[in-house]
Amino acid sequence: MTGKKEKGLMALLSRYMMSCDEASFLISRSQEERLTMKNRVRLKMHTLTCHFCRKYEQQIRQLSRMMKQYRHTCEHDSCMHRLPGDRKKQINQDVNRTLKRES
Amino acid sequence: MTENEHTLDPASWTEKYGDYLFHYAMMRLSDEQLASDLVQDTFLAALKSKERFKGASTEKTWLTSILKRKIIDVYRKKSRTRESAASEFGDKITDEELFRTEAPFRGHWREEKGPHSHSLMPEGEIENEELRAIIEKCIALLPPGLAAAFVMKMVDEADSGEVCKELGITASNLWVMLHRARLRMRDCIETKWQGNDR
Repeated sequence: MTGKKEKGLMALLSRYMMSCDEASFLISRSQEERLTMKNRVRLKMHTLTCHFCRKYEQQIRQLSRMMKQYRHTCEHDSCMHRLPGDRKKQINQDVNRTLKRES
Repeated sequence: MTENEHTLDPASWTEKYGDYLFHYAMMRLSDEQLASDLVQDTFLAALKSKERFKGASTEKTWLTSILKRKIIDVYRKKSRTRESAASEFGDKITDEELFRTEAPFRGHWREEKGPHSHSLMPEGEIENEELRAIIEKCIALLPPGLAAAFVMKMVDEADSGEVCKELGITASNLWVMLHRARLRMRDCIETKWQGNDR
């Protein structure tokens, strides 16, 4: 049985503390826009005590940087994807056939 | 003709832009057959609407914008109707695979699914090719609705309002979809990187 005192404590905690799924949602959202003051404080309180969400926050920031790099990665580089030769030939023929038909 | 005007030379498109457009599509769909089909579709669609090319942008930019639309169409076809996509991603933040469901730990990371290190991969040391391969694979593993939102926002750096309009979703749908995409991307990259590394 939960005592009255404990119930009160839990109610107080649940008002200020959040679960990891909410914390991770706010971490994600903070990548797009500034959180409200209340949510910034709540998130900070959570990450102070939760090592998973502390790591999650760092990883999500890193993910954003990696996606920026990904955007132009391998363009004109040896790791650029290249259209397979036979497909290239076929596409070229298609384009030229359509061009001739139009002229 | 002034110097700022761009003209079209369709006969040279495949040679000049074939690889670039193929690469662009592969980075977003990771499917060779599909990507090369889209390159072909892009050229043919461009030929049809040649008259609408005003010369304000370069050939390359114009062709890329046509391809971009085709990629969004693919995502859209792959995911189900707008309504089901919105309800699937809209209401429930908790993902039972990642977070615990039993009291009093409801909503807390499952021990084996939580982030285990501060860094997803050692930045600076990673080769472009490795980065490309891992992220490309992880994007391809996202559910198409999440992939569409994530790619438009994080790769194409589109404005949130534009993404919502394009996908027919509300702003709060978008936050949740990006959140779910990030949870999956993080999990996927951490797993793949460790698999490669050790």
